[in-house]
Amino acid sequence: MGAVKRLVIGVLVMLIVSSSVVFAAGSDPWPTKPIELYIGWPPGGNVDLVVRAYLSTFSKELGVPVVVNYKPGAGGVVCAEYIARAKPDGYTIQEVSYSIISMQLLTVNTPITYNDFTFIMGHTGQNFAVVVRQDAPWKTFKEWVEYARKKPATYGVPGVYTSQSVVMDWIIKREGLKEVSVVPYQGGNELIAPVMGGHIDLALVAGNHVPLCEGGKLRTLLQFSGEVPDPDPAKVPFLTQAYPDCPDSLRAMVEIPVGLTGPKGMPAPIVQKLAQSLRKAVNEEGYKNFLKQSKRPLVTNWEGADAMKRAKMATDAYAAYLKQVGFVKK
Amino acid sequence: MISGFSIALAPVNLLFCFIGCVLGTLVGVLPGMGSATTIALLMPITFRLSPVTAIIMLAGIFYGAQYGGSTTSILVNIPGEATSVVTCIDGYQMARQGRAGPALGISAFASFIAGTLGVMALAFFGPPLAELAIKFGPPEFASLVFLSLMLVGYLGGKSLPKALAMAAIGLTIGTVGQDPVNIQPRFVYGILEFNSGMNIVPILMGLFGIAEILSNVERIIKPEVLDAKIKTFLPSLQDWRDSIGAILRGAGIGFFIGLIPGSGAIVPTFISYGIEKKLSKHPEQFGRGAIEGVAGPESANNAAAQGTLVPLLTFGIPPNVTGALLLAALMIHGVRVGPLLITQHPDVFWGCVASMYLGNVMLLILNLPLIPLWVRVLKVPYYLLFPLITLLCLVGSYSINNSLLDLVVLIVFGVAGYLMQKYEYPPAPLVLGLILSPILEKSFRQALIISRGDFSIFFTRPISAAFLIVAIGLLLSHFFPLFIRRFRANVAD
Repeated sequence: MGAVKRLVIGVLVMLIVSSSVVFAAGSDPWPTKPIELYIGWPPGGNVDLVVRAYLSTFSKELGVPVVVNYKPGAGGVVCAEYIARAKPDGYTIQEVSYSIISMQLLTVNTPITYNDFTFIMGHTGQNFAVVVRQDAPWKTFKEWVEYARKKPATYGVPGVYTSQSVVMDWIIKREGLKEVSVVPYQGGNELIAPVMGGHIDLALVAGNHVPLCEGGKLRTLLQFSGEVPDPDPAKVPFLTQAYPDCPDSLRAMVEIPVGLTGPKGMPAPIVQKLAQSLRKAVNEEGYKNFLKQSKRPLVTNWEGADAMKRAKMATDAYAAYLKQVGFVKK
Repeated sequence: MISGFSIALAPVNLLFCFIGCVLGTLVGVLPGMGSATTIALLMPITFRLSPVTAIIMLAGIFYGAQYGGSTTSILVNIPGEATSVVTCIDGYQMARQGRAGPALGISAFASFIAGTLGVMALAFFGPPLAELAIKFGPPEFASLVFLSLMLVGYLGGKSLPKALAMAAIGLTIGTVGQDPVNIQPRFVYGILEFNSGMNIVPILMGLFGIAEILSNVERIIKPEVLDAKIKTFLPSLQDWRDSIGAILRGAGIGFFIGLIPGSGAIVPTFISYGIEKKLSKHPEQFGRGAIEGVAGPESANNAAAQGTLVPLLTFGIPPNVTGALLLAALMIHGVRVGPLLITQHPDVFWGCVASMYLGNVMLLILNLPLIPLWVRVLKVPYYLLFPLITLLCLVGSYSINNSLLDLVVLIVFGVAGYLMQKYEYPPAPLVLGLILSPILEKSFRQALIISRGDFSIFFTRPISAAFLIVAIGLLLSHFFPLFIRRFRANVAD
């Protein structure tokens, strides 16, 4: 018993000593305690993967542990609201797709907008693409468009008002297609099985198609953002190549990055410290490999006022779209 | 395969397989603590391990949880995992009759048999089965769910109208949240969390756990009654004779439904229960402690857990949150799960499969000696046990989303469940309705969007048509005897 007690006391003393060393070592007053990083989805999602890829370097750079918390609900909005209302001291931040806080907020009943956040740094984009099953009759996107002119066609979306589906909707209208049905699924993971099984012609996917394209089960017809994972990427056009007249606001929607945000009013030095540590973390070899594997782009131009401006552009275009399709926010 | 065993038998892999199984059993036993949360928490620890070892351990947690899930269902009427909710119906009744031992025993054996059969099917027929699974589109899905809904009649107590009413309420609660097609919020009453639908776990814990405590507090049964009756810890020969058919059928149903991405492991447990009751020579025993009612569903959820691994490991299609996590873990290790997994990383695929054989044996050896220990939980005086269960329910509900709202839901459904029990409204049909409602609505509407509003899509596709025929057959077999009786009564008049 005595030995156990001594051991416990010893461990406690060690903990106290080591933590005071950590506190003493940093001349910078911030951060002095662990940072809570929130994710608005259950563990294992797209955003979670990104965070795990950079977390250890990020936390090493900051000198304090970064604790990941999950706060799922309402497609990320529950978490966004929580962050918007948190204390802007830098200890409560979230990793989120900027599309959630600039666009998706418009579709639910919440007073919060992108103005309630501090954009710390966007660092990676999505791999948004249009895919078909390998043995589908259409070799190019144009072929599918021609087919859809004559016959009833279908495509699956990960949600009706997601950024990809807004762009696709623009393409359908531009091509003047009348007989195309949009089949809504809930999230990109649900779309893979139906497109492989031939239940829908096309699927608008977000990264989870990468191994299936490389494995020869799916083919990319059109790439919205990110890199083409197919064996022959040269054959796949990007959105801007296939439709050079695509408005900038739509491009901003699909090129919107994933990144760190905090509540509005975070002190500039703290934001800088976070961005600086994150920049180091995302320029690590391990993280870059992760991006290469999942065919995601490294994004570096979404910081500070710049990010705010782009978010505004995407949000305004999105609001206009919602109005145009008659979506009523209750 | 043989190389797989040589990987799985390496001491470090055996050790981590064991750790995974122990942890899995533990999180299975603890209500609310799901395998998904645990895997997420432990993922960073696996970074230092090789990818094979990591996936062996994490998969162990996944299928191990299916073993432990039934324990609290049987002992205290709280499903440890959502997939063990059906086990509550007869398992808890068995425990109250002093047969907790055989109930726990048969569920461990059922889990073992189904788990092993499932692994074998995965190893030998993985890729072709996955090809089959993707033939399942929205219309097939809608018809399957419709068929499952016909099982309501088998889940109720004495009164069919009451069961139907409960199912209708369940279906209605299932519509809370954003409409799956045009994302308009429904019945959310300004509560942001409800936009993504109501969480199922607090509802289950309320309806079963809290409700049971409330009604027991009222009744004040003396624990000695239970105490005196605990005789054996293992199922008898007669128990085996009663349940072996249920186990095999449950394994088949669980595995095939588990294969279909998006179906989950809960639906097959309900189907298995319904089938066993339909086939049983003494259906009146169901709901009063029929061992088949434990064996079938427990077998089904384990087989389904293996089934969901088929599309995951062969195509990289995650069937549920836990599956997505396993995929994420492999991705972090630089192993991309997709059609190329078996050729590019045969060690990962076969090592994982082989470890699951071993894991199932370990889980059986681990779980059987625990049974006498678990049974003793029933001897804990109620003034200690009840607060403890309430605490477990509260912590479990909160831990899923870290949301206080879930506690409110838990309490509301606890009180509702208590009143339901008092007035003999069965909770199981409500749960069935709640689980099926979102899947039914989504797949039904997707099917109609694909067919442009033409209902014939449900009848012209063979798999879908077959499900509908069985569903209509079930419906008729319910009502036909009723009509005959009416008719005879009329003739007699």
